[in-house]
Amino acid sequence: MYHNKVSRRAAAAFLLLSRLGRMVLPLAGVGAALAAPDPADPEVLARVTFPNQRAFRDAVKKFRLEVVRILAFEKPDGPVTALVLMRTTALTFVKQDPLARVEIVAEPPTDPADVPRVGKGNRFADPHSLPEGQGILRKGR
Amino acid sequence: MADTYYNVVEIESALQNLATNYSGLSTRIPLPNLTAERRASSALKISSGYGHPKGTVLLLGGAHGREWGSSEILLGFAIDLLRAFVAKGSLTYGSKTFPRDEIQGLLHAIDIVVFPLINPDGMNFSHATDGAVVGGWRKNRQPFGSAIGVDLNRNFDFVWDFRQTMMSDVAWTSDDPNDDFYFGTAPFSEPETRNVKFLLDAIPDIRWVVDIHSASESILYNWGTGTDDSTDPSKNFRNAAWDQQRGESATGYTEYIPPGDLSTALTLSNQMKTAIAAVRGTSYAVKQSFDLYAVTGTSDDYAYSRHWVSCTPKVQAFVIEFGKKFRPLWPEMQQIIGEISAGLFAFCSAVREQPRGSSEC
Repeated sequence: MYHNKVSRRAAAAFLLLSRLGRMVLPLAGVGAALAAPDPADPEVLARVTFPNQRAFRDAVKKFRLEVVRILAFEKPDGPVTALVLMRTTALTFVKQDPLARVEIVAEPPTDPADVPRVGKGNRFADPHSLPEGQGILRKGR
Repeated sequence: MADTYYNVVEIESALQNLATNYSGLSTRIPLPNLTAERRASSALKISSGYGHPKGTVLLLGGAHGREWGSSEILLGFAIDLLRAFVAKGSLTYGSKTFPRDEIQGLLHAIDIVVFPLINPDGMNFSHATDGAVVGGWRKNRQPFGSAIGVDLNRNFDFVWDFRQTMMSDVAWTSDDPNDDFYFGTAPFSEPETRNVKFLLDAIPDIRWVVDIHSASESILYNWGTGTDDSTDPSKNFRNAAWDQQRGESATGYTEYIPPGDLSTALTLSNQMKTAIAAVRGTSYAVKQSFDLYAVTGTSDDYAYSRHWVSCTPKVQAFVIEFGKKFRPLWPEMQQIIGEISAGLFAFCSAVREQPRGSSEC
């Protein structure tokens, strides 16, 4: 994986500077432009946990995390677990952060069999063709 | 059918075919606003014709392009309901069965409107570009110079102007057109959100809304702007004294929800959770929309807020976030369609027992 090639020294330097508020990842903005696919730096979906809200919010800004959903947080200021999208480069840095726990939920598929597909043409061009439900119908019961 | 998602042309054709083949029970509702790429949208009203006035459930899908599958869920739910009602049969999803009498009673008591694809432009773009990526395209395809797209679920007229109404940096919303959460140029600036508003305006019997999204296996209820509280009615989204303090618990702001509405929200959410779990054991979390990040301009909060600001009947609204990722492989998506269909059947069955609130005006 690309992120394994990023040097630990660079990651440590980034973390130091980011804690000093001097640097953020040179990526697209929070929730921004992650939508533009970059094969060299693909997105991953990850479950991240930080020990408190401030650490989490700081990480969102520093690492340009796109928060998909807060999964859990303990009031008033306990651990925060969230589902986030991030670039692979950002994942490298988050993994280096001693405050963070990271679990990858989804990575870009490498096997074509793992790529979801969309139908071609129109399977409902025949006006009698109907969509499929998943319920099993039992008549008269 | 092949093991693939439906493309946007197929979704519209499938909806038309349901209306044609079940013409006694269903009617296609053409929606008035074309998208930026000139696509037309439709909804489907399912009604047994018995009784009037009846409450109506509005089911929404496909607001975010990258969240494939919500249209298929709603079309699958619609065909199952129509087949079972006509055949006077029962429906089974995994370990969960809805008996004949429940299905007959459901459609005798309520009408259902299905709008399966709010954002056909965004979905079409995502279909073309997102198969092999993890994230993907969320917004519609409205151009703004070099930027493209509005997050439709930030464009509804509910505390839309977050700079004015919310504490800074707490809203999960943006006024930057390059951002995935861009809220648009004005409330209802987008044709897609105006189509949803059209349905709410045109069908005054709508009392419940469920908006289908992904992907966090959760069921969300109002509000998204502050922690729900039933003790202080002065803390509410209309009270300008709380402007720029919403969305942050430390300011003391909470969002008022009458205790009866909160009870109803929890009851209906848990009915869905129980039915979903009964299919194959998947446990969906029931949560309030507000969490560490507030949300503004969302469909569910707009629908629920209307009866305070425009003297319309009360609508209680929910969001289901299905699945664990935006685009499951089709075999897994089929399982999810079964789960969420069961949740929606349980919801529609349960709302028959709920009081139908009136305007707060």
